[in-house]
Amino acid sequence: MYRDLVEAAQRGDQDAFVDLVRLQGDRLYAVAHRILRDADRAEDALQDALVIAWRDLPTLRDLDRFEAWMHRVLTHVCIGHATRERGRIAQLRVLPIEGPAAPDELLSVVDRDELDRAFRRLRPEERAILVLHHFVGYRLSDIADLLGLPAGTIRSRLHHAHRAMRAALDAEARTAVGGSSA
Amino acid sequence: MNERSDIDRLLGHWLDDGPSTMPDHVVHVVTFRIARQRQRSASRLDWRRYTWIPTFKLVATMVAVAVVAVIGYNLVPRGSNAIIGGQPTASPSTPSPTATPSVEVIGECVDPVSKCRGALAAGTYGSREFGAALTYAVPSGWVNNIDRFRAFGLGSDEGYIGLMTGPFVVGWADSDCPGYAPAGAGSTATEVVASLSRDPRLLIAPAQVLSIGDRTAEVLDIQIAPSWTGTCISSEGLPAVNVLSTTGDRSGPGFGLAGTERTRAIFLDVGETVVAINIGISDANADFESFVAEAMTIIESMRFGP
Repeated sequence: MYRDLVEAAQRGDQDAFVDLVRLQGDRLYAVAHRILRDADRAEDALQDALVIAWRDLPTLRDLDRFEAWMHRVLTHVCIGHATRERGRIAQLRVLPIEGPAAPDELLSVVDRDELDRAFRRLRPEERAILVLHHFVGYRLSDIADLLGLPAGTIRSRLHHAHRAMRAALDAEARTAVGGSSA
Repeated sequence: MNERSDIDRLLGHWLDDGPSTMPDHVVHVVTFRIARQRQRSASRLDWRRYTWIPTFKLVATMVAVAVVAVIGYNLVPRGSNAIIGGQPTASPSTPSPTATPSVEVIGECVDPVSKCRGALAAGTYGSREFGAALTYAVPSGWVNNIDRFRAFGLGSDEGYIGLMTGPFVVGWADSDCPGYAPAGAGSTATEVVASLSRDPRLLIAPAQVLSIGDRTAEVLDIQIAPSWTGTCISSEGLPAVNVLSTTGDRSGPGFGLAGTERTRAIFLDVGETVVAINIGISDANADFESFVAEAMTIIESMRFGP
């Protein structure tokens, strides 16, 4: 889609690369934010990923694959950031949200809070797989290619992530039922 | 609805809800960082030999934009996001269909809209597009990476020599470095030197005189004054000065400094215009003085057309 810009950037044209950043930055930032669940960390990861992409761009052979290649770079950087942060975040206690839950046809605020907690407990790779599949829309075979893992591994990790997220919602539902009957 | 499609739908809904706009300053920071990050060489290319004219990154943007306008290509300025006195526009701009004119790009010439020669064997060469009709002699290891009407560049592994033609403006203003008031720098080399010497943001040694062929040039060694603390967004907290530009905004060539960067700037009258030459290192490990000494032998070999 942006082949001319990619080609120019690959040849060292910094302006072309900055144009690519402007064109794709929003989507990339959104992906980073979904994986890391934190605006500052998402921004740091995106900046790092873009600089790495600039550095390594001459090694990209198939210019039409730039977008997927960029997602690969970003995902690996996000996984690295999430891995480094995971221990610290795991020790944080997420405070309950006060006040009434806003109406939502699919998810209440409490549901979102539970999903967020469950998501943060996932391994960084599992988070990335969920985001790449449900948010970006990649097929499992594409994700396997992006992460350099066998498709079967991706499938089992996605399954595990689904179960964890489902369990979080079920636990919340049980708590809510129990609470209302008390 | 089965359990799988239910969780698919919930997760999709949950993930869709969140920020989807990259903060504006990411572009500035990335622009600053990639100007200092060399690209890896691929087997089919060797990018290590490349460098751009600018020190403080913005010039690369400017060169890419300005010359195109000067030569008359109908190009939407890429990376240009501010005008003097105006509000910065954050919306991305893309090249028009005419943004990639058919020009000769040879060897390792890095500038896609240019007639630069790329890697140079030791010898004497002439510019192809540069308005001041330049000839110059280089040893091996140098690259001609820009050759446009108002900008010309030579680079080595360690640094660069950038040339641009006047008229000039002291500084430039844009969304990256807001709040400055660009001012005309005069129409002769002596006037430009005087304008820069009055800039309180800069620490400049008294001008030296240099002969380049039968022309007399004035030489300034420039760095940021210790008292200057102003920053630009992309300078990541370092003091920054947008030293000289051709248009007062990002739409033309120019150069700037950040942190402890130094540059040697040389000015000479050529016909009705002024040629500005600036020397800087692009490799943080390079020795500035040694590189300047090497660059000066090339500059002293330069001759300009009538």
